[in-house]
Formats: sequence, C-alpha cells, structure tokens
Amino acid sequence: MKIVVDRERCVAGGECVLACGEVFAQDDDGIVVVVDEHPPEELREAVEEAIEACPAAIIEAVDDAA
Amino acid sequence: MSVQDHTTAEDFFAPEVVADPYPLLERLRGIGPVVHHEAMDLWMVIGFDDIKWCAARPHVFEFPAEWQVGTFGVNVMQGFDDERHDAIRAVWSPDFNRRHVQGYRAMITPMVAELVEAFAERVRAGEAVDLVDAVTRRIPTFVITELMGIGPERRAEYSRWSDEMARIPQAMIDSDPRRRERTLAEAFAARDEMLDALRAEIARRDGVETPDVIGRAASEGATATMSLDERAANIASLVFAGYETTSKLLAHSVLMLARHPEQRALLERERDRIPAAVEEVLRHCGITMMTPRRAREDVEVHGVTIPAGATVGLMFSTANRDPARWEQPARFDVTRAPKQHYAFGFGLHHCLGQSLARLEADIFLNELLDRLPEWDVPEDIDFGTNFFIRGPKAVPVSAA
Repeated sequence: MKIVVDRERCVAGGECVLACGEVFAQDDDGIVVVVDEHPPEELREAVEEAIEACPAAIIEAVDDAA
Repeated sequence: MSVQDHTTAEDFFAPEVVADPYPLLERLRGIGPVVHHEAMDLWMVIGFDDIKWCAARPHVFEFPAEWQVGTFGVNVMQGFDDERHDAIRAVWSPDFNRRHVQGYRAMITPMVAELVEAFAERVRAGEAVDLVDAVTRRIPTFVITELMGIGPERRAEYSRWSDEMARIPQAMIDSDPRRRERTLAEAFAARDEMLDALRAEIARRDGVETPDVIGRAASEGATATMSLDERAANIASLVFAGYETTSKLLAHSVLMLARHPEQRALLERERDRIPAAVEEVLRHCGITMMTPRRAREDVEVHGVTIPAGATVGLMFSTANRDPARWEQPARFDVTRAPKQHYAFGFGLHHCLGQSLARLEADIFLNELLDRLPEWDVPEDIDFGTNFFIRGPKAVPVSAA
C-alpha cells in the first residue's frame, strides 16, 4: 500500500500519530508527515485506524500498482 | 483605535456587535495582524496563517487552565497541553472517531425526522414557529444524552444546565464586574447540579465500563488518570462543548438558506452538495468566535511582540474570512470548494466532536429539505448577547 495525505487540509490533530506512529509523524507546525510511504502489511490495521480517526479525512492508503 | 500601536478599545459587548460582529472584525483586520484590546487585556491574532502558527505551538501558547478550572471546578482535557491531555482525550476519542460516528446515523435520523415533521406540519398550517426552540436546540441535547446512555426523562435537565453554562465564556471576560458576577453565580449553580448528576451516574455504573460516554469513565484508563470529580468535569465539558455550538450551527444554516433561496433550491435538488454547504456555514457564520491561549514567553507573531503572560485570542471568525485565503470572503456561497477553516479549531485541541456535528447538520438539512423545501424568516433576527458562541436566539420560520 502507498500512503497519501493532503497536508493542506490537515488539522494537526495528531490522531494518526497515536494510531500508527511508525507511519505518521507531525512537523513543527503539527502537520502530518508520512515517515513510511510504503508500510509493511502488518501495519495495515493501524493505518486503517489512522484513516478512520482523522477528523479531516485526509489520509488514503492506495494499493501499489502491480 | 490605533494602527501604529496595534490597539483597540472597541466594545465587543455592544448590542450591534452581537447582531453583526463582522464590521468590527474587519476593523480589527485593518489595524494589523495582532491587535491588543487594553480593557479586556486580550491580544487578538487575526489572520489564518498566523493562527495556524500559534495553534500548532501549544507549548508556547498554552490553554489558560484557569478558564477551565473556573468553568468546571477542576481542570479538564482542554486545559492540559501535555501527556495528561493525551491520556484524558484518549478515554473518549473512540466515541467521536470519524468512522465510528457514521454509525450513529441510525440513532439520530428518526429523532430528527420526528422533530422536523412536527415543526414542518405547523409551518405548513400557517404558523410562524421558532426553529430554535422547536428543533435545533433539542437535537444536540438528544444526541449527547443518548451517547451518555441517559434516559429521556433527564434530558430537559441537561439542556437547562447547558443553557446556563453557555453563558460562562463571555462572562469570564466581561469588564462589567456586577454583570459578570451575577451571570457567573447563576451559571455555576447549574454547573454544580450537572456535576452532581454526573458523579451519581458514573457511580451508578459501579466500575463496569459500558460503551457510552459515561461508561468510559468507568474504564481502567479513566480511573487510573482521573479522580471522580475530574471524570465528571470532563463529561460536563463534552456536554457543554457540543450543545450550544451545534444548536447554533443548525440555526445558522436555516437562516442562511432563507437569505439565499437559490442556494437552498440547489441543495434541495442536489443533496450531495449538503456537506460542502455545511462547511460554508461553518466558515461564514463564525459560531465559535475565538479560543483563548496564554503566551508562556515573549513571542513575536507577524512582527508584533506579545509579552509573556498575555492572554491571546485566536480569532477564528476573522481567519475564516481571511481575504488572502478566500475570494470575497463575506459572501455566503455553498458552491465554494471547501477549504480548511477554523470553525472546529486547529491542532492539539481541535474539536473532538466535529464529525458528530457534521453528521447532525447533514441529517437535519436533509430531513428539513424533504419536508419543507422553502421557508421564510424575518429580516430582523435576535442574536442574543452571547458573542463568543454566536448564533440566533430564535428563528421564526414561516411558509414561503
């Protein structure tokens, strides 16, 4: 999977970091930073949690092209 | 008013300001990026980007905890900026998680439908009915008491206590001491009754966690991090946070769609535009005017030095009409492509209930448009006296 975020619409809530700190971090302005763009499969559940928790709905996990 | 030294002496409590604060807010924007109100001793940050910078730095701009302690008797989630905040918020965030909230649609829809049906019937029969009393102030109370697992027989009490507590934020900075003391005394009496009721509800759960807002207070996580008083106070803060604000969002949307019938007709025809319309109401109508912070150190914001210890107001309503961000920002237009705004704040303390508020607004507008696609409201609408959570006190609706 590939993680895609819309930094423009991020509200710096930090829910994604709480849900999956291996994939998401926040910069000095609190805006989401994707630290692992292609996380391993075992993190899928935590990534889904981050997607569901994001109040601005700005995170997507797209399937890598075959 | 002085452009050179960034000060203002405007009276925020003047009746015409509550009726329409935007002329004053635009005058503030004209003074500068940071404006000091000497009588209120408030440093107001005006622009979208500057507010983002401040709100992203909770260790420089802390929440003034005494506002929370003053309101709830003890500090609550919003008044902490550190791990304590995270531990407390984590207790209740599962119930307000965006995906989880969608699951409340089935619970909320029939109740809203019933209220709106009764309301619409009266309007169609020729009555002018106050939307706020009949519908919009009842919806958030119903929702939050359902989420708390509290029965219908207690709902009116929570509504009354919330109405009283809603007067607190503005009273806290009222420069008229007698008016301030009187308002606060009444509001605190109501708060104490609510806290008593909540402590009793939590105790009634007898240590067994149930999947509701009060039941969460019985969890291991909650009891480990908060005393009973703190758990009750945090729940009170959730009730308080979601009531007046959501009620006013719904009322503003009906008012704006009365003023812009062509946009209302568009929404009636194209229901998938409603979410974007809700965002435009949030941006345009300035429900939560500002949030307070305190500067922990001397800090420069856009060239203006704010002294250590200063109370800072992040002016969400001015930011939501920042001309650097929106074209013709004073124009209400549901067809705008939604852009991030600050109606729900930004950063660490961003509104926990925002997904719930959006859901309630979506359901309400759909049910209303189903039954009453056209409506009229009078020219003159009373916005009451609450400047900091702003909305119509009453909206008399009649058939178009």
